[in-house]
Order: sequence, then structure tokens, then C-alpha cells
Amino acid sequence: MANRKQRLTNYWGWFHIGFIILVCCYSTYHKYCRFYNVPENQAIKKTNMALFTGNVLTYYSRLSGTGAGYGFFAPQIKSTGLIIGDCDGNRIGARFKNFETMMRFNVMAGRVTDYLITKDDGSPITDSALKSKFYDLVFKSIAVKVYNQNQCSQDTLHMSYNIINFPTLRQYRAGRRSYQLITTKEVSIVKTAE
Amino acid sequence: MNARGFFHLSDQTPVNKLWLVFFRCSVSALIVLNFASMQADFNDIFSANSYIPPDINNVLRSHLLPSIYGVYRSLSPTFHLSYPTVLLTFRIVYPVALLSLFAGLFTRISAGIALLLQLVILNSMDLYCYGFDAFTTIALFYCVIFPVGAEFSLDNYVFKRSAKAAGNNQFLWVLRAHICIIYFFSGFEKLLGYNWRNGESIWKMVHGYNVLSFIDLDFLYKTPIFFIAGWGTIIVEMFYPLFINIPKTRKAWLIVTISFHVMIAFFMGLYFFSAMMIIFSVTTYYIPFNMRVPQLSNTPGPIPNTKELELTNAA
Repeated sequence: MANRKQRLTNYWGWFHIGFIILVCCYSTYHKYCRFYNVPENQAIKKTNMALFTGNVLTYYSRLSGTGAGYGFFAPQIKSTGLIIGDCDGNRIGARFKNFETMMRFNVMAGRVTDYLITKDDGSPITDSALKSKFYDLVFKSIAVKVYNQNQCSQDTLHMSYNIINFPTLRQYRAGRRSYQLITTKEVSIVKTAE
Repeated sequence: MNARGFFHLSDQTPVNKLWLVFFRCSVSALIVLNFASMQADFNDIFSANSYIPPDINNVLRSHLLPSIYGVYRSLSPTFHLSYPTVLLTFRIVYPVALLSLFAGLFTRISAGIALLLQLVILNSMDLYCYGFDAFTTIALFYCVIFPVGAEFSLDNYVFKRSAKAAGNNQFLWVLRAHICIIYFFSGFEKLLGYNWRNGESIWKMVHGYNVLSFIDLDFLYKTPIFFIAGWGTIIVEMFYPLFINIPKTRKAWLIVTISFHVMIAFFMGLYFFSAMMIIFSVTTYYIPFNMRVPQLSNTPGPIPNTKELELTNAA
């Protein structure tokens, strides 16, 4: 009995590790193609889809946390996204009581601004028009929350989604010191009587 | 040499079985801390009054699992539950399951409940998730599979369940292999990006993600420090599987890796992520080799060979 259990554990171990290696290989390849604008090999893409999408392995990957690669901040570090509101000439933003949630909000800001640039967020929404509507709702919801949170007395609020563009190391060495705030989207909300 | 030999593990290799206890306690404690740290702003992320209301957020959820909002939608017609009630239930049951896992009470069931609740919670905050959350899932999954409650647990103490040592080395082998794969691919993907090879990524990181903005490293712009740090990151991660498994370099590589994660915590503010990675490394490559911590008396495990023990301690 103990031997059988050990054998089963062994089989599972090999399967589990093999599965992780395959997922990581594809993730690396996918990121490489995206980064260097190389079209993905259709055979590889189809094999990946057939192996890991819409079957029992999808559930396994979700449950075990092995469904994604581990290339954190790779192949490059993305620019920081920043959500800034303007109420009555005052710069306002989201308020948090804790660092962890503030950081999570920044992750969200980064992902939202990343969508504005690449239009690819890896979400299950495939219809681009629907996705655009979804993000429009997201932008407005954040603006309303920031407006209420800051007790903005003005009846309008302008919200912008920006990317902080620091000079690169090379540019810095060449003498450039100032950073730019590149606005990717602006939202205006107006408070109306109910 | 086969793969298990590479990881220095045969079924008879003496390892300190406290690694399972350490893994269970440290992982559950860290996840509880992380969840507790979000409580002050919990409503800003999950409630109907949050930045992205749950009905909007629900669009992004994975269809494999429900979100908290999905649970509410399914239960409310029958049980007449309000959304805040469902949210409160998650807010209470999840940390209770984690504390139960910490204490080793109904360990496997607690780990299973914590894993499922964690996945549902993550599914409800997709846009807010980062690396730590993926590692939380991995850790909880291993807490379900591995016999983490076999020692120093309430299960063991109250129910007098006999601890079985068999299979511990097999589980350790799987965890080691997984950690090595994580580090290798993390380094390899960085190697593919030219920004990591010329130091630009480190430069960008200290500007865009430097939470301790009072530490200004700009004065170092003429030095090759950013270039060295970029390559250092790639080398530490990519060669982790090799040097952590060579007895002579294990301790040094472990120290370098832990220092690397301390720097990530310090400069990027990824405290929980760094702590989780340190836990994984210490669990797999420090505790099992450290025979000075007390061995467990009630475990009918293999009798350690004195010569092998000495060798492992020397390593």
C-alpha cells in the first residue's frame, strides 16, 4: 500500500514538473514574440491551445497555480501607470490607508494604462468593441470613486491615465533630466441632480 | 545521475522533516498577514462602493471558478443573502481556514478550503493581482498535497495520528524542482530582453518602482552599477538550479538569493512577494539540510546514517 502510494506520488511529481516546464516554455516563447513583434508559429500556438485550454488541464493549472510563466518584469520592466484627477485645480488621486492596497491599486493602474497602449490585456474578452466598453466603464468607475473619496466640491472632475516617462540611462548620461507625463486617456465626469 | 539524484534526494537521504512544518506555518502566517494588511481598504476593492464595482469586475473573471459576486448571485435567490453578507463570510472564513492550517487542525481540509477561497477572492480582483498571489496559490496547493500536518500539528496532538515519513523526500524533490524552474525561467526571460542586459531595466525600476524615493541613486549614473545589477539578477536567477544544488556553493547561493529578495522588498516595496520567495528557498534548501534543529521523535522515518549526516552538515 505504502509502495503504491509512493509510486503514485512519483508519477504525479513527474507529471507536475513536466507540466510546469511546458507552460514556462510556451510563456517564454509567447513573451519573446510579443516583445520583438515576431509572429507566433501557428503550430506551436495551436498545440498550446489544444493542450492547455478547455480541458481538465485548465482546471489543474488554475488550482495548482501553474498556469502561467514566471518571467516577472521580463523581458522588460513596463512604465509606471499613474491615475491623476483634477478637481478645482487641485491634483487628486486614490487614497489608501495601507501600503499593500495602494500597491495593488498601482498594479491595476499599470494594467489599465497598458491596455490603452497595447490593447492586449490577456483577458477572456475577445470582442474588441466589448473590451473597449468594459474599460470605459472601468475608467468612469474609478473617476467616480476618486471624486467621492476626495469630497470634491466641484461639479466636474477630470481624470487622466498617464505613463511616467523617465529619461533612460542613456538619455540621462547625455544630459536629459526632466521626466514627462504622457497622458493616454482622459475622462470627465459631471455631477448631475438625481 | 537521474533528476532526483541531482536534487540530492533518494528515499533514504536523511533530511530534516521540519521543512514541512516550517512550510505550513510560514506560508499560512504570511498569507494571513497579507490578507490582514488589506482589511483597512477592503471595501475600496471588493464592495459595491469600490473603485471597480463587483458587477463590472465580474466580466473579467475566469469562467473556471466563481467570483465573490458570482457566489452572491447564485446564493441570493435561495438564501436571500445580501452582497455585504457574502463578502463578510469570505472575510471571516478565509483567515479562519488559514489559522486552522497554521495550527495544523484538520490540516488538509483547511488548506483545501483556504485554496478554494483564495482562488475565488483572486477571481474577484483580477486587475489588482500580482506575483505574490500566484505564489499563494502554489503554496496552498502544496499544503493540500503534501503531508504538512503530519508533525507539530493539532491533528497530530489531539487525534494522535501517526506521522508517516514515507514520501517526504518525494515531496521535497517536487518542490525543489518547481523552485528551480521558477528561478531559471525568471532569469532566462530577463536575458531575452535587451533592457536587462544593458542596465536600463534596473534604472527604470529604481525610478518607476522605487517606493523609497528618498534614496536617490541618480548620482551613480556614470558608474556601471546598473549594468552589473542587471546581469547580476540574470545570473542569480538563471544559475540558481545549478549552484543551489552543488553542496559547496549552496549556502553562498542561498545567501545571495535571500539578499536579492531583500533588495526587491527594499527598492520595489514587494514585501510579501519577497517574503514568500525567501520562505520557498529556506524551506527547500536550508531547513532540510540543517540537522542541528531538533529532530522529531515520534516519526518512524529512516535512521540517519551518521556519515551522511556529517557530510550534509559540512555542506
